[in-house]
Amino acid sequence: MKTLKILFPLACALACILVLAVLAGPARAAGTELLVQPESVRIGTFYDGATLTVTGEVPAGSDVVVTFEGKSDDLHMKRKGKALGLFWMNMGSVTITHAPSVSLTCATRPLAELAAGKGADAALGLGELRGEIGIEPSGPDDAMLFDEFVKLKRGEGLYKETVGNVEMAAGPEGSADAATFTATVDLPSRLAPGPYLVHAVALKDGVVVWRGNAPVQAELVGTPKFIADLAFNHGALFGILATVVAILGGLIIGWLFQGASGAH
Amino acid sequence: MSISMDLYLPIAGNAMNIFAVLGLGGLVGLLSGIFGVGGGFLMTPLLIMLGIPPTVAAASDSNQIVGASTSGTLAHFRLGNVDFKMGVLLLVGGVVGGTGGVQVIKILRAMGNADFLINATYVVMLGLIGGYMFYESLASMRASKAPRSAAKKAPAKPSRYGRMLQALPWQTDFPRSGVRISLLMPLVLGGFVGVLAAIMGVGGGFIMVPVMVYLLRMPMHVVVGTSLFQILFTCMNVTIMQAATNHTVDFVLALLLLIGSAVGAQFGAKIGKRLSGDHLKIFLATLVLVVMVKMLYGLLVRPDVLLAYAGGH
Repeated sequence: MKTLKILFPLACALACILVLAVLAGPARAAGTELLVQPESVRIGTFYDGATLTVTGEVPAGSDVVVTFEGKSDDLHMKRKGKALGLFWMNMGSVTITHAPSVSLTCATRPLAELAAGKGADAALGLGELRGEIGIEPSGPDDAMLFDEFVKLKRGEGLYKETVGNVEMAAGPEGSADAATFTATVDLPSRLAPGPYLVHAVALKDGVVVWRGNAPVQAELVGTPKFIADLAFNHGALFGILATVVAILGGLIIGWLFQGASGAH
Repeated sequence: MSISMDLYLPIAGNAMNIFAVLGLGGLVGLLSGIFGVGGGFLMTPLLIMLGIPPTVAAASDSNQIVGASTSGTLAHFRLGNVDFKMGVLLLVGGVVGGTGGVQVIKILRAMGNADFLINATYVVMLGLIGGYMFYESLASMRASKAPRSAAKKAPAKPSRYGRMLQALPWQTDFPRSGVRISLLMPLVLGGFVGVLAAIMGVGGGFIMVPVMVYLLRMPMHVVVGTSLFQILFTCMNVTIMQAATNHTVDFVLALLLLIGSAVGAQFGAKIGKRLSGDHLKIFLATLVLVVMVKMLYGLLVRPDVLLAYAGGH
């Protein structure tokens, strides 16, 4: 009886180690980490979007889904409805919780095809957000409100799913059980500074066989940084300066026109 | 070889094409210079359409109106079209009224469904003002073409109103406008427009102009210059308040719009000078009616997306 008491926990521990080893197996087999170029996005005066190149090594024959995601936050929204059965207007407030600021996904094949695969253990892309994003107060319209929210974000170019921006190639040194992928993610011009995360998954027959992620920092540089610092840290001074410059600008243009008409 | 013509706007958090912003500023500045309205009721929705968040669009527009109305006021001052005395009195009334209007909005919001009241006020005010101005200026243009026999439409109301104007205390001469009225009139009417402007979240130029024309009986050209002078100060106040409390003024956006609109306002003032008062009124009335129809359309047609960010005006 005593030996059983000692052997049982030992057996359990061994079983756990074995399970972990099996689960971690494909990641280890695939080898390298996720590589993102450039590692940080610099938002300067002429920033108008950027392209990230994401590369990684995955088990051969798998499909790859790469997602660029922003920080999650709660958003206070106005809900539109019909007043007096006739006029469309803001009729109430809802809070969208845990909504990432940006979610851009690209994949080797349409996500619906990948997620519908036998044994798929997670929804992908924007479908994955359905499980993460909450709506308060909750109600029977939650699904409709989620769809409307995604529509709004898609319109802003901040939520997007693309197919075909991921290229697969043979693994290093012609390895038969590994392949490399290169994904290009087009970042929108409407990008706020802050931390972002690129994560990639490889799927085989609808089962996730590899995961990797890498952080990306978007930061303001140059004039935009100077202006944003002044606006957020010295608001009143910024307002007065903006007013004075506007008045001077108006006067200069007025004066130039007087000069022009005077010469005429 | 390609040079980016896009500029990143740090507060709006988006990039925009330089020429699109300059062109938009120029177009609205032109209308502002011709009619003496700030143009916020046109500019803000257009900026939102181009991807600027609503609060940033409204605040940055106020900032650019400061520049455009400086330029416009200067142009009209040179043409002798600014009644500073009347402008200051309207402004004092407007500041008091605006403060009161903000309180009214708070009460309406607490009661719920404030948005409906705001939208309804908008449509009704725009419809009434646009409709009356259109009708009146059309009648006036016909009367000036036809011989005296043409029927004068509204003699009863103005005469009673005229008697009331003369009965008020503190009658004062406003030489630039060529009128003699009580000091109370611009103060009270300025306050009235201030309340409405605060409720509707706009500068109020398109209400102030008809008020000056019909209730203060100022000549149309002086109305335009004086309105711009008053808008200058209203928008200075809004810009500083918005920058200090909400951090929503995008200076880069405002500066680009300003360059466009200040130039536009100069051309506008020159075009306005060539038009008769009646033509000015009928064009402004048409503009106001178009905006009213657009608003009404927005109320009646199902929006594309049934959610919007909270935090607009």
